[in-house]
Amino acid sequence: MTDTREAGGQGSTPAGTQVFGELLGNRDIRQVFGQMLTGVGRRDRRVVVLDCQTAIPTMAITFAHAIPERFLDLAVAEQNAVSFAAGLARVGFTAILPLFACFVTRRALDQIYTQVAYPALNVKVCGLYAGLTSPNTGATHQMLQDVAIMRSLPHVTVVEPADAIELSQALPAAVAHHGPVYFRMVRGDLGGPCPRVSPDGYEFRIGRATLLREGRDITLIGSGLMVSRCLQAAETLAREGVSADVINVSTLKPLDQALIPERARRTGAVVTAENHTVLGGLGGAVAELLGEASPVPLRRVGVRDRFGESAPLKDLLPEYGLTAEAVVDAAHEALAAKDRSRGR
Amino acid sequence: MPGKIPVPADVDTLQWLCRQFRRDLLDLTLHSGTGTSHIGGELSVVEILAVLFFHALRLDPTQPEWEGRDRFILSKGHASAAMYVAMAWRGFFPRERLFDSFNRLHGILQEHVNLETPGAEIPTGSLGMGLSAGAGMAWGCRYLAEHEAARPCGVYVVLSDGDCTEGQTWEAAMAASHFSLDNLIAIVDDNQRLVTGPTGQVMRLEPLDGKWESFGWHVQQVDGHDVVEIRQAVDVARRAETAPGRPRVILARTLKGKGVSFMEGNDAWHAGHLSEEQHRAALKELEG
Repeated sequence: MTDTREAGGQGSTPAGTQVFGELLGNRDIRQVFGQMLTGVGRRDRRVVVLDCQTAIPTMAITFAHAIPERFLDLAVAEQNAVSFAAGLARVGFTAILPLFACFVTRRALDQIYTQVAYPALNVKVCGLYAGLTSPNTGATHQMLQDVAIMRSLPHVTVVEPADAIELSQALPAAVAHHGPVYFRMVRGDLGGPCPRVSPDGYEFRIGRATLLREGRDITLIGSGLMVSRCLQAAETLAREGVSADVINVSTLKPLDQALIPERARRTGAVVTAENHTVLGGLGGAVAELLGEASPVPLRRVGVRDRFGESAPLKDLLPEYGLTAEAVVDAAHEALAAKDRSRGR
Repeated sequence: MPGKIPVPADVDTLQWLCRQFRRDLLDLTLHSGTGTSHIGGELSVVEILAVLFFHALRLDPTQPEWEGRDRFILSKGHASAAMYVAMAWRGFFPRERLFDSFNRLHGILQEHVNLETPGAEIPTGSLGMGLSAGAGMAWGCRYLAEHEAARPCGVYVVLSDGDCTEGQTWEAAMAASHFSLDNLIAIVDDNQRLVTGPTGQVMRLEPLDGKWESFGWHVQQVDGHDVVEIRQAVDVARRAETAPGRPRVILARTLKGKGVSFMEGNDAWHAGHLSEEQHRAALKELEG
């Protein structure tokens, strides 16, 4: 947890998540996911988990071992799995699909659109190994467009937790929320891409972004694994005399329409950072919101309209600009633009 | 009169209903907000829907969401109008809606079904999705019967030959068989024609019975315009002892555009606009 404290998290595990305290200290947040999935299944006997041969890497297998009678392995057939889940939801189940983000949101998009989003059924589509965090599989598996796709669908709520604490609250919240949810998660065992960022006493609520650090000069807005990079960038900027906000946007839809424009107005410059293409994801969503509500100089950090590749994550993240340094550089640009716009 | 027909209906009533359905489909197309419907595939599925809604399905039109109901999915969603006609006659909503709500802004009857229609189970329209959703419902209903003492329900899915060219249908066929969903009954409205021509020329489906059999399904074949044959096959399919642990399929050989000579087997009538003159001529044939 050393890196966690450096990233801004302090103190002990928040109340309400203490039961998972041991797991929250684990660097592999997939274990937290498997455990939380099992937890929601134990609490609600109408929860069913559907798998397409990814239960071992996603650790949904934990649920399969604990509650085999409500675990369905549909083999490598994502389109069938999504429509099957919709059928289950229509007869009263909460259907959870913990699949790889690439296969569920690309291959089964038509099924999600027609039979989950359109009828607003109670299906939780979980896209795991999202963004670049499928390093050893490369472009075919690196899902860099899922937020853009899923947030464009009516009725769909889009959530991406930034750390294990948030995950431990967001998954039960997504299950309790009636209606379709897209739950995005990175592969969490790779060198701790999601160190703790949530403060003590943190309470996740769908639709609410969190101001993790308050500044005066610029607002850094991150989602998922980039939240910790934004916190690191804020530290670097502080050493330069720049005071930065850091906001964790863990609900990408509906976007927090209060906090984001309010902070943008206050600081006058914004940087977004995401493990996703800069087209249509967090950066796109924030640009849309601020363009109408409170236009300020804005820079987007993320993958710049490229396909990924298979390589170690430690090499991929800098190559594709998903680092604290990239956030700092973007902040410099946004600050310069802000100065220019104010005639300085 | 719609909603007042005793169910299960006798053969004469079923045949009479089919004539009413066809007449209503022609009227619905004439009054459609867009001036169109997928009339060819609607006319081919009429007898199948009459038997399902007036013989097989246990439903309560006054409580469309009754948990103990049998589930019905029209996977060939482009023929939703035919389902609406059957539902109106069964009493789910006033028959007038067929002529003032179809393809109209804020109407409850969309060209492809959605949940605004009372009694509808799930949207379809992009082909190939209905059997998967039906398999999910069949699994769920069986689970609820076994674990929560719910009433055992049957799930009926009507597919087109076009549905059978979608890969997802075969994913669902495999899964339904693997999970031993013997409460799942598929009926293929095999009108032998895709949009541009006969299935045999566009994409060969035969041997369709062999395909379903090889996926582990119990297969029956019927004349899809003979209500007696369809009724008998449905009765066989819904008996548990027919083929324990195996899903059932009824392959119904039909004719696209059935009942209107200038539409029968004519690809121009997959979907289309019906002029008043054509409407009159078609009605005359039905009454003739």
